[in-house]
This record gives sequence, structure tokens and C-alpha cells, in this order.
Amino acid sequence: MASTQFPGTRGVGKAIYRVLSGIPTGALWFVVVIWSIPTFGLAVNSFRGRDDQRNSGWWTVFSDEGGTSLDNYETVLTASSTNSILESLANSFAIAIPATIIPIAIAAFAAYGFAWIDFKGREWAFIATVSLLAVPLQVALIPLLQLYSGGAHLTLPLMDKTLTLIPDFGLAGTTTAVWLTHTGFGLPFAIFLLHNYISGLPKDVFESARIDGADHFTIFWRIVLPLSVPVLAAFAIFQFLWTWNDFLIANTMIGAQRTEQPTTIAIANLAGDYGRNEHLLAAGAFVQAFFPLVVFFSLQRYFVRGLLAGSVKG
Amino acid sequence: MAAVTSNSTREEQVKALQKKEARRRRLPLLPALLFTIVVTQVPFLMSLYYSFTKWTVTPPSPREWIGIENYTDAFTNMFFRQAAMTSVIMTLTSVVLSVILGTGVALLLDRKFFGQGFVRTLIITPFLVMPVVAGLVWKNQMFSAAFGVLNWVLNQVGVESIEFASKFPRWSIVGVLVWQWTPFMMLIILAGLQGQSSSVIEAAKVDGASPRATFFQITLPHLRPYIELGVLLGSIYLIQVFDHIVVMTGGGPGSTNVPLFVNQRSIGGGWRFGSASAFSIVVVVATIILATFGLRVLSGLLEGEEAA
Repeated sequence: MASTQFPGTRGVGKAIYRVLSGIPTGALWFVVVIWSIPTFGLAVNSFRGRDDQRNSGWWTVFSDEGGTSLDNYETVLTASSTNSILESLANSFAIAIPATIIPIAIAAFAAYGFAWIDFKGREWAFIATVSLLAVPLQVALIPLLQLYSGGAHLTLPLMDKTLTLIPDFGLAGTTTAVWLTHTGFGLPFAIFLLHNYISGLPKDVFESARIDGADHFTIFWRIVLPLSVPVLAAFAIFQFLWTWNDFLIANTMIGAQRTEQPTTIAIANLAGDYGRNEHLLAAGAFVQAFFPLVVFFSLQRYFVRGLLAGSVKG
Repeated sequence: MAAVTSNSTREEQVKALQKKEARRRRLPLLPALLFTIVVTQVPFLMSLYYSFTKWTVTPPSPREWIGIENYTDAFTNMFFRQAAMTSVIMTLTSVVLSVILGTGVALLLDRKFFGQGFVRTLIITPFLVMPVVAGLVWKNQMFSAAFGVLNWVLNQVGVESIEFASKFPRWSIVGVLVWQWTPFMMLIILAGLQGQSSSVIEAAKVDGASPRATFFQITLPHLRPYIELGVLLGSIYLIQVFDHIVVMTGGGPGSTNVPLFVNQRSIGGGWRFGSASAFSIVVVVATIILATFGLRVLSGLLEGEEAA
């Protein structure tokens, strides 16, 4: 600025200062570039044809006459028997929406109970629930698959009699099995996160509401839920990302059942099939990532606030 | 509201109301709790039962009770011990590295500058990429000997291409995990930095503290709870890492963690559900012991809340 008009030590000092203070911004842009290379490469490849992708790295697009087109997106977005990304998007929604909303509904109630209702063994029950976070999914997947594909039966010892505890609902290989499983696995984390937040709400509010004759349901519905929007949104983001991007559970429960596959399996299959459709992977990935991006950036302002409230004091 | 004299009656009123409610109190909790127990504890208990049986699905065989045989197998199984080690190392290194990098990026971002929103968006994006795709992108476009960016850079400086994913399977996966989780740590730590009062920092500056001392003696202690939260949430997710490994190395040398190992033994082709259940139970017990730290944090929170 003005310093350039005054040669001398003061100007030099200011110039040095300006260079030094520019370093963080420079470093930041450096990190940003490094961090974005994989995503950027994926984006470039999504516009390149099959042969181009097979024969050269994505950066050659800038030097060679490789040529770009929207063909991959067109193929991915037109449903056909060989590729089913569009159909699988519908399945992904059929999984991710109930698997996000149902745990929130249940966990909010349970978290309120754990936080504000005195009962014997409250802490113990809370710790037992939350410590289930440590269970590797794979343990429970086996019995669950058993449950879904045959119901639950108890054969009484000594008597030759089998009781049907849960009938066979024929859930194996359906999206229902997947979101039911996600709901179960999402609950401990949901209760953990929501409890942290709800237990931190000011006590006075609850007491005055009670004196005014509000029952627990009213308090929960009229006070707790509206106040908990940030943490509900934070959990919703986490759970939506997790269920939308999940491969393991969907693959276990649905596997080769093409009509029920979510996008994750459809995309992973692109890479398989002896690479026949691998050139569609990048375009498919961007179509798949569109929805989590929308969800995240529309709820972003709640995300960190909801995670922090209650668990970090001050 | 009411006059001071009515305070005692008001307290009595509160007590009476609370007693009256005592029964109703559990009511809203019950359905939620019951459902939670059914969908989480019941499968766990079933696994516990299966772990004491010999049960192979393919070829089909009747389930028979064999006592603790599966457990003695689990403890002597060398591959299982390796998988457990891999799980611990992978989770630890990726959490620690992403916290350090995330703190660095958060410090750089904690200023006003042109293009702030754009930069934040670019940095967060990897966190939203689906694990299968993240794994494949890194394998095919970063690590690949033929078309990998890393190898292209190496070639420019005269180093021969390395097929990273097969040469360093474990560290390749850690690299991808760090790429995806640094943004998350950055978000949490940035919130911590922005919650720091500027007057404290200015006071330190006036007192002649160096930027280094300010960081280590004021900023870092302030960030501690935020870092702890990041470590806790990161570990919860990273201990379950599975998709990345399947697509990148398929569990190649040194990259089979516990979820992958259990999966291989059961639904992934081994079909020995009895012994796979035993492995999982061992993991659960071990994790619960290791997580005592985490639980202590939890109970600390509970106590703190009661004291308040």
C-alpha cells in the first residue's frame, strides 16, 4: 500500500512482513490443492472415454487431444439392464431415509429418558447401551441375516416342540433388511450424541414446565425437540453419510439381488465385472456423491455445533 | 412469580408432582429402550451362543455345542492376532495423523481471507466421498504404477514407479483414511479455535509470549476437549473400517484388520459362523477393556452433569 511510496527500512520491514504473512495463505492453498487432487482426478476421468481412461493418466487431458464428453453421465443416468445406477439411487433412498429418521425418533426419546427421568439403574443402562458402539458389525450381521431369512425359533429342550418367536418375514435380500440393520447399529451412537446434548439443556426449563402441568410427552415434544435441532441435524448428517455410503451391510443383506442394490454395490460392481464398465465408475461416483453433498452443505452450520454441544464444555 | 412466603409450598408442590410422575416417568423410555435392546443386544447374545457351537453353513452341518473350543482356537490363531494388531495400528495411526493434520489446517483456516468458503468446501469434500470410491480412486489414480499421480511425480524426479497399494498395503490404506478424516478433525478443531477468546491471546502477546509459547501453553490446552472428541468419534468409525480394505488390497499382507478377518471367516466365504462368532466376542471383550478410557470420559460427563 502506502509503504511503497516511502523507501527505507520501514518500507522494507513492511514488505517482509507482507511476504511472511502471506505464507499461511500460500501454505493453505498448497494443502487445498494436494487434498483435492484425487477428487479432481476423479472429476476429470468422469468426462473421459473408456479407451482414454485405460491408456493414460487423467492429467494428459490437458496436454493431449484426449477429448471430453458427457457420454459417461449419459450412460450412467439412462437405466438399462447392464447398468442400474439410476435404479440403485432409488434403493439408496429407500435405505438411507428410514435408516436416518427412525433412529433419530427413537434415540431422541431414549436420550431424553436417560437424561431427565430418574429411575434405578439409569447410568448402568446408559453405559450398557453406549458401549455397544464397540461391537464389530460383523458379529451381529450373522445372527441378523439368520433372523431375516428364517425368523427366530426356539426349540424347547426335552420337549419336542419348536416355538416361533419371530416369523419369517422374507426380509433377506430386501432394502428393508438393510435399513432395519442400520437402524439398530445407529442407535447406540445416536443415543450417545443426543444424550450429551439433551442432558446439557438448562434444568429450569424442565422444572417450570412440570410445574405448569406439562407431562413428559409434552415437554419432549414442545421443548426438547425444538431445542435439539442442532444435534439432531448433526446426527442426521452422520447417519445419512454412513448409510448412503455403506457397502458392507448392503452387500451382506442384499448381495447379488440386482433389483434391490443401492448405489454403493452398483458402483463397486462397475469396478468388478472384469473391468467391462470400469470407465463409468467416476461418473457413477459423482452421481452418487451428489446427494450427501447436498445434505451436508445444507445442514453444515448445525453439524459442528451439534457435535460439540454437551461434550465440550465452555 | 409467587411471593417469598409461598416458596415452601411450591417446593412441596414440586415434590408431590414428581412423586406422582414417578410411574409415568419410565413410560416414554420403555418402547425406545426395548427396541434398542432388541436390535442391538439380542444379536450380540445370539452370537455369544453361536460362539460355543460348531456351525458351518456351507457345507451345511447341524449346529453342535462344543464349549470353549472356538475360544482356545481364537487365542492360538496367529492370523487373528495379526488382524488384531493391524486393527490397532491402523486405527491409531490414522486417528493421530488426521488429528495432527486437521489441527494444522484448522490453524491455517482460522483467519479471514479471500475464498474462505470455497477452500473449506474443497477440504471437506473427501469426508463425503463413499469409502469404496475413495479406495478405488486412490488405488487407480494415485497409487497405481501405470496412471498414478504419485508415481508420475516420482518419475519426474527420476524414481522408478512403485505399485504402492500392493507394496505398502497397510500404509496405503492409512493414507486414504487420513485423506478422508483430516477434514472431519479440521471441522471440530476449527470450532474450538473460533471459540477461543481473543483477549487471552492478546494478553499473552502483550506479556511478550512468543507465538510458539502461545500455541503450546494457551491454544493447545484450550483445544484439548475438542481433540478428545475428535479422537473419540474418529476411533468409533475407524475401528470398523472395511470397505476401503476390500477394494484396495482385499486384505493383502498386513492389511487384514479384524472386521475383514471376521468377514472372511463367516459371510465372506468361510461360512464357519461358530468360530467367527467367537473371534468377534473376543474383540468385543477386548474393546470394552480398552475402551475403559472412553467410558471413564463418559462417566466423567455423567458426574459433571449431576454436580451441575
